[in-house]
Amino acid sequence: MAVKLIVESVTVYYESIKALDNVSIRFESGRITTLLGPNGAGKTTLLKCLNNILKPTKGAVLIDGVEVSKLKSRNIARIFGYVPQTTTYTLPYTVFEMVAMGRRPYIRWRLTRDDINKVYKVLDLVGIRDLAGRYFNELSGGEKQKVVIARALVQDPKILLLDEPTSNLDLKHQLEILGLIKRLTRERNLTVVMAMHDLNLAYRFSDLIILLKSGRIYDYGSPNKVLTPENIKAVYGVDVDVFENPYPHIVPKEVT
Amino acid sequence: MSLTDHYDILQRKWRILFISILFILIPIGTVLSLYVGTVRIPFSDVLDIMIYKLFGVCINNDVPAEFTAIIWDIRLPRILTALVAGAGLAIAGSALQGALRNPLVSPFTLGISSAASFGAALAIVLGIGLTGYGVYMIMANAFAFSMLAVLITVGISRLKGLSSESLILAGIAVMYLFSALVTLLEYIAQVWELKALVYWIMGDLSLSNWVRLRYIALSILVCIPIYKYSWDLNILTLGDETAKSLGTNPGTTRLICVVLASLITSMIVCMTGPIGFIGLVAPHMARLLLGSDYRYSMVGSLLVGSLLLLASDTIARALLTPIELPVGVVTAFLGVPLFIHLLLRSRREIWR
Repeated sequence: MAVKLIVESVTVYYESIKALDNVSIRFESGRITTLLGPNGAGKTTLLKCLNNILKPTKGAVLIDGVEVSKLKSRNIARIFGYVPQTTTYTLPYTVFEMVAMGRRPYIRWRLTRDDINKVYKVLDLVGIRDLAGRYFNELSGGEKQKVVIARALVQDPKILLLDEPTSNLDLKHQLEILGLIKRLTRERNLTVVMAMHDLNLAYRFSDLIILLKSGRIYDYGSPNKVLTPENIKAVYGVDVDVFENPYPHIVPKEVT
Repeated sequence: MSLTDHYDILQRKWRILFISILFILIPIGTVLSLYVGTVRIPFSDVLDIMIYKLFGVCINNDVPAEFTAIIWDIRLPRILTALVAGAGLAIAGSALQGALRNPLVSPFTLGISSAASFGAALAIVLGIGLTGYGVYMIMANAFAFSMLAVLITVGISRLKGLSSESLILAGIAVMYLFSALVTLLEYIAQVWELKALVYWIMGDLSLSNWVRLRYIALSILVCIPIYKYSWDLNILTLGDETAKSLGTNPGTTRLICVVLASLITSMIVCMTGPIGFIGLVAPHMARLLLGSDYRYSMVGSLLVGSLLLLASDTIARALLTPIELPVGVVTAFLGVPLFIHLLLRSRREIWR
């Protein structure tokens, strides 16, 4: 069921700027892998390369041994669910319509009874069934984010990509959303890759962490191995204390 | 099962009901509009003529022949032209608003109206045309230059990866260029040429006849492939990245929709002149009635556009008989209050 997602020496140039420099990773299914690093380190770029929103200048992303860029976009959309950093919308769609668009890779014209059931099942899973008839633009930030995650889930993805899924949310919603993602990762044996800024949340919810610095992988491994004061100092340029008890947390000392 | 379980079915029923009502209004509006005009023809005669012409059943032998000519050869082709032109402009506007992800876009945003006007001006003022003479030279010119404007707009925007922003900005630049050229021709035109040109630019359906209706009706055929892009248009409004992640290629979809919408608009505008406002407002009205899902709202736009232009043209003919008002002025007079009413009554935002 699970798919093998491998990044093989990927390099990306924006005009003349190198955004990713020879990055190679093997992602694991049933695990949350979090991309950390300062602004411009290449987190979003790497995420977009995975489902071919961005084509690498060099190297390749392989899914079960097949290059993603060689797959049809419809088939890519059946494997990858994607939650972008910001959700743009132009016209007022209802939550139901918004989530139903996630079935697009599977349908020609009509939503079948099966599609509609899938939409409601995901709305239940994410806990927003009562919002089905509401307009997306009338929702709060947390509700909107849940809708976008629901849309990604209704694609029946094997791999879920999330770009800063908690960036605009309050404390409760941050925990709720990440808890949900964690649960789904285990239940559906998803391969989850997310980009984040909050080191504490990343520490708590990630199985593996990839620390990026100027387009290169600086360190890779479990949170307690990667998120050390030395690494954080080297990548972010900030002196921190890392406390392990009772919960792991990272406190900045002073910006150098 | 609670109400929300059937939410989608409920909504679907409402939408089909609304579409049916709009659909029924079209024949009713047509018959009412046939009745209106400078020559007073009894309503029963209007019905007799239509029944005789459509079904071959003759109810009343005493209907004067000139009445038949007025109804069948003058009013009916004009009414059908209004229905087709309104439908086409509304579909083009609807598709472009989605494809360019901007609700302020109309079929004329990409420079079509000013380019068509320039083509017409070339024929009217300088007598320069690609083919034909008189009215046909104006039509050929208007069509050729509006397609040229779209080619330039798309060509420029291609250099920027066909993003919606680049299409809109290139379109506006092209529009200003052709507007300036029209102004130049207006400046050197003789008084009678200027009057003809200004009248053309205001948009007018009085030249409709059965032959021209046949050409303009071809534009409806182009609407069918656009309708097939309903899902992709829905998804394009969510932004290019999300569209890609859902398996829709934003560049290709946008290009196809822009080209088809422009083709529809050019086919209509070259016959009628640029009739404004319908293409901007009809899609919004349809969305307020039917929701945003293009599978429904596009059909709604078509019907609303037809009805709006039919009503406008009927009023233009009737208001100051025997003088006819330019239909472009009436579309605004009729459309603006109706649109503002819907806007204020509606609880939700039209766009973000």
